[in-house]
Amino acid sequence: MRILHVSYLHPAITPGGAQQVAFELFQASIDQGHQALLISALEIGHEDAFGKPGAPIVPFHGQPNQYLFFPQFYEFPHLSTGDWRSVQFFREFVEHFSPDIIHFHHYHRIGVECIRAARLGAPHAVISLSFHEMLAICMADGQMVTTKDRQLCHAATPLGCHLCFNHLRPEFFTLRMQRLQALLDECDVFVFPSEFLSDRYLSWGLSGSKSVVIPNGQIDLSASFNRASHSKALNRFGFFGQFIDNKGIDIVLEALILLAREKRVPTGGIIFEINGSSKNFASGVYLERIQQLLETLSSMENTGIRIIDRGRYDRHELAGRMATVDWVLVPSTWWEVFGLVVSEAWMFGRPVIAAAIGGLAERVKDDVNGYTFSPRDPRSLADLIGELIGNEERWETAHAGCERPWTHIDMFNAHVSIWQEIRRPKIPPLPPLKRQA
Amino acid sequence: MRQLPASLESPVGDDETARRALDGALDHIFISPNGTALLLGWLSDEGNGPPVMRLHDGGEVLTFPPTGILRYAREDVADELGVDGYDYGFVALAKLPDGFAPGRVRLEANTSVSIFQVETEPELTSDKRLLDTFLKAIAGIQAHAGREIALNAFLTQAGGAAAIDLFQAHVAVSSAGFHIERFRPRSVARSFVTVLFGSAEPVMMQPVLFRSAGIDFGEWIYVCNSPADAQAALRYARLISDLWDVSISVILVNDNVGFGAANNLAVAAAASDTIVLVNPDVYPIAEYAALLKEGFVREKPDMVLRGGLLFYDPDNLMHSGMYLDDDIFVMNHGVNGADAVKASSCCRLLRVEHYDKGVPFSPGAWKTSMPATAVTGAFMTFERGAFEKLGGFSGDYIYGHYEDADLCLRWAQHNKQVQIDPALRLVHLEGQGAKAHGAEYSGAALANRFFFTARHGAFFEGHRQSLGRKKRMRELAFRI
Repeated sequence: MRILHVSYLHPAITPGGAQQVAFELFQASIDQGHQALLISALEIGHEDAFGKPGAPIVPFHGQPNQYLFFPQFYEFPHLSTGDWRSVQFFREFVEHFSPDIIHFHHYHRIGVECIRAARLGAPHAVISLSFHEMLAICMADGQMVTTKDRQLCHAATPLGCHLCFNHLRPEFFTLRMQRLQALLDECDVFVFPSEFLSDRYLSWGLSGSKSVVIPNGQIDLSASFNRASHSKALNRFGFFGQFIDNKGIDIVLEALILLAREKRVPTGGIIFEINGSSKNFASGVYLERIQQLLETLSSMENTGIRIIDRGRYDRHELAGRMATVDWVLVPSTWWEVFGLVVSEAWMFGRPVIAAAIGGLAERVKDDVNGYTFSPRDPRSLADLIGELIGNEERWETAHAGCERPWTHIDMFNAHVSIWQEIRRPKIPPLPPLKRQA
Repeated sequence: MRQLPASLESPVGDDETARRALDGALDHIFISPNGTALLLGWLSDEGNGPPVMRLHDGGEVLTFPPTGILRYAREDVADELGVDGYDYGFVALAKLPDGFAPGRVRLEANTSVSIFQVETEPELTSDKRLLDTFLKAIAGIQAHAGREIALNAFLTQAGGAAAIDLFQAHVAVSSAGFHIERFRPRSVARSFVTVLFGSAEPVMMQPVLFRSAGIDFGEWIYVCNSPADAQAALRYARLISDLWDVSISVILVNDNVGFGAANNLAVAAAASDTIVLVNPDVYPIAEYAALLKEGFVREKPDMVLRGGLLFYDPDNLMHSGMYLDDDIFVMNHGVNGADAVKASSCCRLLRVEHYDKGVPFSPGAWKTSMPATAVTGAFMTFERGAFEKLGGFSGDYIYGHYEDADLCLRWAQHNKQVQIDPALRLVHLEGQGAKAHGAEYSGAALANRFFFTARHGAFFEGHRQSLGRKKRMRELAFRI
């Protein structure tokens, strides 16, 4: 098959879960012998380093079969590329490659218009779209966390959205929704990594008949890793992922402060390792809060708690980072839609301690493959850590339930089976690509 | 010593020694290319009778007609003078005589016993800026006799005529040599027309949502009344046209020519004879899309002007057509002279009202078309010939408001019926499409109400029963 993958960002330039999954699905296509290309839409700020004058789409230098896309006049409120030229070049690229499958991994920065352009460029192709967040539903970065007081939002309503964005009237959000739904409807298949995310989008208005849940897969990096290894004290906790506001590092620090205050830290102490990237995307308020919590902890005497900031990590470093922790903490304070870090932890046999929220609640089951605590509740987390620390039986129970997650090949095969189910109806003639006089 | 307003000038007048010097100030004098003069200032002429104002350039003289001078309350002046209850402020608007040189000018304001004189250099400005300054000035005025009383004599006579003349001059200049860019032009069954102001966003929204609702809009003509949005309008138009193979045209004018003139341009440029005017904040409703589609393709009489049922949301009407009503304004306490009292002890102003404003929708009441006194310009459809026979929208309304009701009244008198077609159901997000938030637009809407009343007030008075709310009531009674 000829498969065109379209992603937002590229993991080699900006690490992140969605772009990693997109890249690995592309990689799996190649590994399975298909002809595949990857187009990654980058941010405007990337143009200086990777763009070429006058070219909306350029080959990614030194990366075969990979291209970078720089849409102009991108308008975030509508997730729209309001520029005919960018979209026309995208369409021509599609026409030139003539794919059987076009798989979008996002619409942010790509622009929802490109889905229609893809249809025009390859009328016979199956178009599928993987969702990685809730941007179409929620203008607050797709997190469904209110902008004013950081509360969890359960459903986007015109009034609720207006309360988050006072400068926009409720009606604006109705129109935004209708337009996005009309443009997304151009897809043949919607792929969600979790039932949670699927439910959110179906409630919002996407067609259930087009929707399918396929868990994200990853390249298995644990081949020579001793998954059963752990420290004797079972007191090493690790955070992996982006060091940003909604990932909940503050909740962990608050929980540790509670344990210290209540003298519940065992004699062996507690080690908390932070493997966090993208700190530059965290808000100043959040970083200040983290700093305050760290200072509070360090001001307390003989806590036995050790915080190690190990910084960002590359994929090849993951095994090393996982080797130094017993438990992986996923304390997200937003509706984590899948939790790629859960897969990473399971890949290395590490039980997960996760907030019971969104896709995490769906995947992590107490006493089966991990443990959950009440989201955004440091007390709940502190109590859970207190119960689990040093408890070999509970570690073994969860460890035994840590099934090896889907590999990128598993994920790819699941996509292939869906793509093959789609029989594009006979398509009426589509308009030719006209050049204006 | 008390400070008078900073603009206070000492009166001069060597040859007017018989008269007492009059306190006052000429705060601004503007002159625009079409030869209109706008004067803003104040006179402390209480008890002296209405002043005669003359503007001299050394040779030519402009004598302001009495109804070209608007007197209004100036609290700042009253505070400084320590005398309340008098309209010290003045706004004077008039066309200069041919040959008037806009160099150094002298203003005289004579009453029977006093005189104010001042020499100054006028501020030369564009027609648009002078008009907007005027509109802003009247938007917020108050008068001791009552705002409407003070404005009535001014706007329905010389002052209003000068303002309309000025606006028309602005429109002529701004629309001369307008540019039209057509993307994927073709023969079409109907032409949708939308006037943009302050945002090009509707170009990326409306065609997509109408098309998604299954509505064949034929071609869509956007008139961009705000040059700042022209580039975005062109970009979106080409993008949407390319992606959905739809015909979109963009008409670019040099400045805001208002709703009526913009629509007239678009209707003249339309590729079909069936015109559908759609505000930028009007959208299809999924629940009624099939009905709307049917309403567009159905055979309809040539000479009927049709409106639709406009909704706030699928369950609640925004309105189902318009009718006329009026408000009476009586004179409050005022001491600006006995003549003013006689001239305008009260005034009536027409009001365009809406049937079924904000009520829950009752589908059973809407099986067939129903006549209406008027339909909103936010959504109306007609045959081009009948529209052009009337000369299109009147150019006598500044920027927007009332030109739709004016068209409907003329339509009913000269063509045929004005109807609400219940198949044409759309949502109208009122006030969302255009960004006309400045005081000049409030001033224009205010002035247009007087213009509309001046034109149709007598007709309304003679046909109160058939133009007012009772018309619909009778229609309903007949059906029951």
